[in-house]
Amino acid sequence: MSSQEAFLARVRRALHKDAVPPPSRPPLWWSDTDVAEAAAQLQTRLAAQRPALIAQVQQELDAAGGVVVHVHSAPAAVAYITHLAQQKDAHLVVRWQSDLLEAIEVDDALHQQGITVHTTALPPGTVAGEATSTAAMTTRRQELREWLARADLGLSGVDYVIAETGTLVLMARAGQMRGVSLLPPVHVAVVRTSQVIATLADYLLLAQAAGADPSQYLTSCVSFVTGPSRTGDIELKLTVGVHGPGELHLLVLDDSNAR
Amino acid sequence: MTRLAERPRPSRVALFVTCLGDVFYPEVGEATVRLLHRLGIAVDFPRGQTCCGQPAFNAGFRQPAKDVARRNLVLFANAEYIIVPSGSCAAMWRVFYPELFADDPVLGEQAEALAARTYELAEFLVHVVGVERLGSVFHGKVAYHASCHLLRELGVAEEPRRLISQVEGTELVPMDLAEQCCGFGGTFAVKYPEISDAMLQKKIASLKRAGADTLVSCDAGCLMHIAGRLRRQGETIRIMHLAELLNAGGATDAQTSKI
Amino acid sequence: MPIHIASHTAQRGAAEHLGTEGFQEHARHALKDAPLQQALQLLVTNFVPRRVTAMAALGNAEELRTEARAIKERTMARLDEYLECFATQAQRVGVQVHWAHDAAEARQIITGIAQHIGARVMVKGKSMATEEIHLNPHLEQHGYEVVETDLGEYIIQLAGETPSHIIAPAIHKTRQQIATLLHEQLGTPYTEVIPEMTQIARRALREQFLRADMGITGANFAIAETGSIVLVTNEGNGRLSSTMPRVHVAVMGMEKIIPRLADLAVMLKVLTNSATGQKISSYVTLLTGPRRAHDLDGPEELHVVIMDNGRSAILRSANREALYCLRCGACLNVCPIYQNIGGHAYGWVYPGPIGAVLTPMFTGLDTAQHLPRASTLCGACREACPVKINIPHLLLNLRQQLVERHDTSWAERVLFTLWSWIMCHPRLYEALIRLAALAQKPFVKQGWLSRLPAPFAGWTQSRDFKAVAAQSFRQRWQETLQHERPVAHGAPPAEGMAHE
Repeated sequence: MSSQEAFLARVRRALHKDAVPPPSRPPLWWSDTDVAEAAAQLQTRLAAQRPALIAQVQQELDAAGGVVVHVHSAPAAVAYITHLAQQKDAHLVVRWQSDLLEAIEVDDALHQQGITVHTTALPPGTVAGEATSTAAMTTRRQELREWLARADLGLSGVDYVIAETGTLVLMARAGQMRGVSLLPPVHVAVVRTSQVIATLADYLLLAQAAGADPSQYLTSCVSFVTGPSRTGDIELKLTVGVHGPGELHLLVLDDSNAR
Repeated sequence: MTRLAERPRPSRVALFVTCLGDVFYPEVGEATVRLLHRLGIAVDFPRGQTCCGQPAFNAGFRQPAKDVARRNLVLFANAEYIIVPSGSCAAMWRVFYPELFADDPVLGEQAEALAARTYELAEFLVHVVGVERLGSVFHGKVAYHASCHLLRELGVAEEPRRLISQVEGTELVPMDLAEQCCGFGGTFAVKYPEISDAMLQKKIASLKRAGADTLVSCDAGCLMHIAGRLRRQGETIRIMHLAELLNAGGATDAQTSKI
Repeated sequence: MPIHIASHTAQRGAAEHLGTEGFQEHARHALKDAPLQQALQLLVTNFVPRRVTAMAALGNAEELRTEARAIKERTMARLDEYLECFATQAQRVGVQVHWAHDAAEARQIITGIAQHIGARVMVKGKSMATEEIHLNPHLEQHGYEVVETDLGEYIIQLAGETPSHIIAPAIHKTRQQIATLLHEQLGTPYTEVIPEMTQIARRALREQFLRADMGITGANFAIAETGSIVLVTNEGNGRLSSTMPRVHVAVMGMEKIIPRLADLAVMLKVLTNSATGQKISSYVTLLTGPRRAHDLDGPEELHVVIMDNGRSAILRSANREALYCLRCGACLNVCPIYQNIGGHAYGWVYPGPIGAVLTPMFTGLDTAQHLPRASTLCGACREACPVKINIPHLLLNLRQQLVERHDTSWAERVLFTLWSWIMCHPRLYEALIRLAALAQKPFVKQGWLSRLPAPFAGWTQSRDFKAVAAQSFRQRWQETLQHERPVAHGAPPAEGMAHE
């Protein structure tokens, strides 16, 4: 008997069931709504609620120690980022590879200030959907790791922002590296207003509607980030900035200006 | 518990005076009888009663507890209402008797039936009789100690406070740790006296902060415990059971327990 | 300037729990420990109001608790199936699933993984499960370097102590004590300023995250439907431990399973609001397998060690609902016993009300018999519990077991047999009361006794004991009360009486 079988047999005995399960059992999942339909209805509701949701993001993330800034154009977003980088005396910025960040053209502005920018893109020559050479990936991972360890500022987009709690949803995938929102002392995230959703339950539904299989609709790591890192471990006194970033800035970009 | 609006006011009840009440605080039973009489309610006292069984049950001795409890199932089988001037004893009847006899189809049913007819005094007055003002008179600053079983097993929270507020001349003062356990816990006070005393001291400190000259509760066990400490410390704060307070002034001379 | 920590734990030896047998002594000691008492006050003034406010702000806390409990109940009833489903789904995304019958097996599995990958340095996120299996000493004995990265755990690791609270492991330490500790252990300049101490720890530990071969964490939830695990943290150390090293090992009790991804929303909400009064923790990390082919960071391997270690016995017992526990610590914070004696006195990994249930069930009722008894059954824990575990009733079940196994003094057994006999014979009972009223007379002063004989002497250590009344209630009933009559029904009510 494998260790899994032995383990589960013990659990079954504890539940007063037979050691070997019967061939047919009632389904594990109780009935649920049609995920695709529910997701579609949700999107419609969210569109109507958006202004209120955006206000809620501001309120919640503020309360959690994040800085929320509304920007109405790509240049405004870039101006904020470069100003912040200057304030922090930053020399190295590492950012996600994302359409939104490409579109606002932040790299040039940072370069002008003498700041080096690295993008967490796959090795050059990678084709989406095809395997990349192990050696290339190893090299790439190593160099990005070293840059992130020294970076002063991490810049990312988001997959969603949850209004109820002011939470950024960051899904790890090609171009979206976990470390960007984790290693540098300052994390800046740019979000389009259309990415704002109401609750965590909304995200979970939308995620499941997006793929047939967990390996499709969930990436290896989904980080829910709400504010900078914090602890109360010493005398229950709240201290901000422990192992994760000590500052989180969220730039909320009005959709009509981004492409 | 909802008000039994359609039923006429009860004309007759059976009293379970509790062993602590019988032996140490007879004035509580006395006051209970007299205040029920003032409300036009006749009182039976099945003389064969002794104890609810709680001391044995709480110590893990279920068989002795059952032996004692079984007698109450018989003694009070025909009572339409059973009044218990003690939160912990009423909880024993209502919550734990059905559990004690859960494996016995006959006694189990009897226990459920009995539980449905058992009331702690304050909840009986407010929800069954439908009165909050009994015409009692007592001049003093009263703090209310919410005994644990009454509060959390029976869910009786506001009723005693409402009754106290309607006593003429009485000022109900808030006590910050009113709902904190006083440290009695039956044999706990004897087995773990230092912890019990630490809890008791915090309770008394809270009582003093409230600026009360009188402490009222619905449980003789708690009162005994708190009074014992106050006396040892030479304090003059008066300890009263709710029944005594509600019977004060007006037409009777119920003796109140004084330190 | 990098702060290098050598194998600091090897120097001071493994931290040991106090053990459950010396409970009385440890409790007494704790009551006299002034800095501890001061620290425990923080729970009352800080954690408790935060949770109360947060739960009230939810608006539907009651429904959420009911739903959360229902999810756990459902899960436990078919735990074998959910575990199987989790394993299948997890393996599909590349997780290596391990099954540990007990602590020894769990430790063996972990050292096995470490050996296999040639690990030397491990970073740890906070995990009560790893405390339970006494993992750190075992790893150190085998020559591995283990660094706790949660700030509270790091502090107690430096101090060579065990955690005293589920959420805030170092709550028993004052800032001065911590300042001294950091200064002496790390050689950094002495500072009592909390943000400065935190930054010292950050710098010291950042190095470790970057050099560690293996990250070991617990898991707050495991989702059967998707084969995912969930880490709920605030500091970022959980994220770093599960991202930077090339291998991540998550250790969890088998009861951490929840059925569906959708269930996470409810469970997370009740957990964070109950634990720290936060709507959500700073970081919630949902991990579904190790890194994928095109992920630029993340571990190469993700191992999940599913542990029984006594949980199937709890599952079988009348105390099954103890397995619903989310390890939020809310019950500790409201417990008047815990508030007075702190966590170490409970003698093992899990303190407070839930610890009083789990510790005897995990480590043996015979040695831990004080824990179910050292409670007034006040129920504050049940009221605070996000999944409504009826802890007082579970403690009563354990007390019953103690009696059935004869783990009680013969004196107590005799006492209750006698008590029951007396209580079943009312005439005898009446006679004994009258006898007691007489016999006590020489010792009574103004209705009180200042000394009781053993075994009741504990009461009169600090309190007087009420004397038996000269005339019992039933005597008064016999003589006067039974002849009194109620006010005539229908007669005008006494002055001042009114219906509501």
